[in-house]
Amino acid sequence: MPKLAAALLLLAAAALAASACVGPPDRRDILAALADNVFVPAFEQAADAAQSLATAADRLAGDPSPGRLDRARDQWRAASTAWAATAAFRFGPVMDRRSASLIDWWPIDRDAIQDAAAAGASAEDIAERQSAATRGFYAIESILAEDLPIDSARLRYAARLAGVIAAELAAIRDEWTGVGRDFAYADALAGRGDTAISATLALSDVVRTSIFLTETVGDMQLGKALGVTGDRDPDAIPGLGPSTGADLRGAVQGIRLSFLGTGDHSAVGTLVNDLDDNAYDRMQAALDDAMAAVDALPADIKADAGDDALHTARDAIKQVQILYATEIVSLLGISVGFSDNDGDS
Amino acid sequence: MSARAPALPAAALNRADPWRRVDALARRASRPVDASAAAVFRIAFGIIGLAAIIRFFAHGWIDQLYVAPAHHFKYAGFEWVSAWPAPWMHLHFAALALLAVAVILGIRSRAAVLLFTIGFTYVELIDKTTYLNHYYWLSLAGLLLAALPVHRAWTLDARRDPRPGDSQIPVGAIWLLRAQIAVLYLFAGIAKLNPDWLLHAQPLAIWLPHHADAPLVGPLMTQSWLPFAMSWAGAAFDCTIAAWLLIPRTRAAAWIVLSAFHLVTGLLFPIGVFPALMAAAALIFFNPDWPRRALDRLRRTGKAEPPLQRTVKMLHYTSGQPPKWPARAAVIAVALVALVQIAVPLRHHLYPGNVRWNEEAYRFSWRVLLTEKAGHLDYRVSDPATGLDLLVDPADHFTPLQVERMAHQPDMIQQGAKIIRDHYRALGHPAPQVRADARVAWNGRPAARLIDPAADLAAQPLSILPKPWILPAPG
Repeated sequence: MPKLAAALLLLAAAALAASACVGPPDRRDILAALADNVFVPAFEQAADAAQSLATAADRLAGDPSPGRLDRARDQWRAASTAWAATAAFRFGPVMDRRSASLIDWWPIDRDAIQDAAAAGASAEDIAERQSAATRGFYAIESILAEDLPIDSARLRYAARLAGVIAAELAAIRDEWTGVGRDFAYADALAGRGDTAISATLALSDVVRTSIFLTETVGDMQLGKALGVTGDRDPDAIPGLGPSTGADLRGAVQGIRLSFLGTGDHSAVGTLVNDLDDNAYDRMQAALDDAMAAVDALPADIKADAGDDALHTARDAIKQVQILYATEIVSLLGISVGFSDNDGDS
Repeated sequence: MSARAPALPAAALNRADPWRRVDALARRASRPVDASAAAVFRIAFGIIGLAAIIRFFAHGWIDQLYVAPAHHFKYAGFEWVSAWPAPWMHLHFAALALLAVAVILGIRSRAAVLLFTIGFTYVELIDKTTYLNHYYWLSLAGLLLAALPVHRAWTLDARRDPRPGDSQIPVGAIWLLRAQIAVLYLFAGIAKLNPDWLLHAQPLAIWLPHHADAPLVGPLMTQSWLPFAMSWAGAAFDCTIAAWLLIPRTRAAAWIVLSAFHLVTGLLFPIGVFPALMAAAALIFFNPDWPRRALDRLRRTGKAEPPLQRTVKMLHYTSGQPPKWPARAAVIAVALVALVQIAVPLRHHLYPGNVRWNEEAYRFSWRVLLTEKAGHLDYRVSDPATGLDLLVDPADHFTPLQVERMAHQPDMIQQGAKIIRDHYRALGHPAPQVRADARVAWNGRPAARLIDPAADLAAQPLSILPKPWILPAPG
C-alpha cells in the first residue's frame, strides 16, 4: 500500500512537472505585454498630442493667422486621432475619472459653446461646471472649422478646451504610468507590485471594452447612420466630418491590437490561440476584414461614404462583435454563465 | 338454512386490504425520534434565508433586479406575479428578514416558515432572469418545513408553552428532509452524465483557468488534467453523496467531503449562500439526536437527560396509533410530491433536442454549474404596413443582466420579442413582426444560431410546448 501511494505521488509530481514545462500562456504575462506595449504607449501618445494641440491652440488664440490656424487644425487632427486610438483601452483610469465627458462628448451644443465662449469660461468652469456638450474635441473642432477671422473669445475658449483635454490626458497617462503617484495602473494590470488587480478582472475589462466598442461603433454609430438600428441619423457618427474616418479606424485598430498585439508581443489572442486555434483564426480573419472595410472608407465618412461601404464596414464590425461576445468570452471564461447576483443556474 | 361464507384467513384479509402497505409505511414513519436535528435544520434554514435577504439589501439587488427593470420575464402560469413598486419591494424583503428571524428563534415558527417561503418564492417568481437552483431548493425545503411537525423543538414557543412531545418528531419528517437533499444531488449528478462533462471536461476546462492567478492553487488551475479530474469527481460526488450520507459508517467522512466540496466550489464560483446552505442542510443525515448529544457533551454538566426519561416521553408520544385517514392522506401526499419531484427534472425528455442547448425544461431540474454559454442577440423588427425595418438592441429595453441571460434562453428571447412588439405597436405600427438573430457559443463550441431567423417570434404562442423555431444544437 505505501508503495502504491508513493508511486501515485511520483506520478502526480511527474505530471505536474511535465505540464508545467508546456503550460498555457500566463494571463499576467499577456496583460503585462498589453499594458507595456499597447495601452501605455497609446495613452502617452494621446497625452503628447493633446499637449501639442493645447500649445497650438494657445498660440492661435494669442495671435491668429492662417498658418497658426492650419497648425492648430493639424494638431487637432493628430490629437483626436491619437485619442480615438485609445478607444479600445478605455477602462481603468478613463472610466474611474469619467474622462469621456471632458474629452469627446457628442453631440455638441453650438449655442451653449457660443455662450460659454462669450462668458469667458475659465478652465475650471469648463471642467467642473459646464455641460459636457460644450467641451471636448468636437467643440474645438467646431471652432477651428471656421475661417479667419474667428471671434477671439471663441479662439480663447478653444485654447482653454484644449488645455482641459491636455490636462485630463496627462492625468490619465500618469495614472497608467504612476508618474508622480504611488500607484501605476499598468503595474496593477500586469500584476506587478502589491496593488495587482485580479488577472480575471483585468482580462475581463480588456475584452468587455472591446466588445462594447464594437457595439458602439457598429450598432450605435454606423447602424443608426444607416438607419439599420433606428431612424436614419448621420449625426450618430461623432464629429463634424473630416476626422470621422480616422476615428473609426482608430477604434477598430485598437480592438485589433488588444487581440493580436504588436510585433511578437502576446495579447488576448495568444490565450485564445492556446485554447482553440480555429476560434483564433476566425477572429483574426474577422478583424482583418473589419480593418480592411474601415480602411476602404473615405476620411470624411459623413460626407463621402456611400451606404454600401458603410454597410460593409458595419457588417464586418458586427462579425467581430458576435465572435467576441460569444466564442471568445466563452473560451476565456469571462462570461461565466451564472448570474451576477449569486448564480448557479 | 342459508349457507354462510367461510371466514377468510387473516393473511388473506391482509392481502385484500389495499391500504395494508400504506398503513405499514405510515406506522414506520410515525415512529418518534429526537427532534433536535430537525430543529437545527429549521434554524439553519432561517439563518441561510436571512443571509440571502441581507445580501439582497447589501448588494442593492432589490432595486437592480426587481424595481429598476422596465420589464420582467414571467413564468408560465405566474404572469400575475409582479414586483411591488418601491418602497414596497424593500418592505417585502424587510418582512422576509423578520420572518427568517422568527424561524430561527422559533416564534410561531410554522406560520413564519410558511410565510417566509411564500414571500421568498413570490420574489423568485417575479423574473426568470434571477432563477437559481438553490433558491428553488430553499422554497421546496421551506414548504416541507411548514408541512412537517418540526415547529416545536428548540423554539421560543415551546419554551413559553411546553407541551408533551415537543422534543420529538416522527422519523418520517427526517426521511423527507433527507430526501429533499438527495433529490438535488442525485439529479445534479445525472445531469452531469453527458459527453461534454465527462469526455471534454466542459465547462470546467473553460472555467478553471479563470483562476490562474489565485494564490497557491493558481498554477494548478491551468493544468489540463484538472478539469477532467474535477468533472469526474464532481459527477461521482453528486451521484453518490446521498448514499454515503445514509450509511452510518461513511456518514461523517461523507459530510466532511461534502463540506470540502462546497467550500472549493464556493471559492471558485460565485454561488452565494449555496455552499453554506448545503453543508448545513446535510447535517440532517446524522442521527436525529446528534445536536442534543453534542450539547450535552458541550455542557459537561452530567445532567443530560437520561435515556429512560427520553423513552418515557417517546412512549407518551406514541401511546395511540396514528389516526388512520390523516396518516394515509399524508403518505399519499408525500408520494405525489415525490412523483412530481422526480418527474419535473426528467420532463426534458418530452422535448426534442439537447436540453443544454435549447433549455426547454431546463429550470427546476438541478442542472447546477453545467453549461458555459455566451450569446449575442439582436432583434429585427419589421412592419410591412408602415415600412418599419429595424435592428433592435435588447439593451434598449432590458437590463444588462436580463440581456446576458436572455441571449441564450429561447423562452426569454420569445418573451422579449413580444415586449418589443408591444413597444412598436404603441408607437403606431399596427402589426410588428419580431425576429431574433441569436448566436450562442456553448461549452467551447463555435457560435451557432439558436433561433430560426425567419420565425416571427411575436406571432408564436407563449407555451410550454416544444418550440419548433429553436434550431438544433451544433455538433
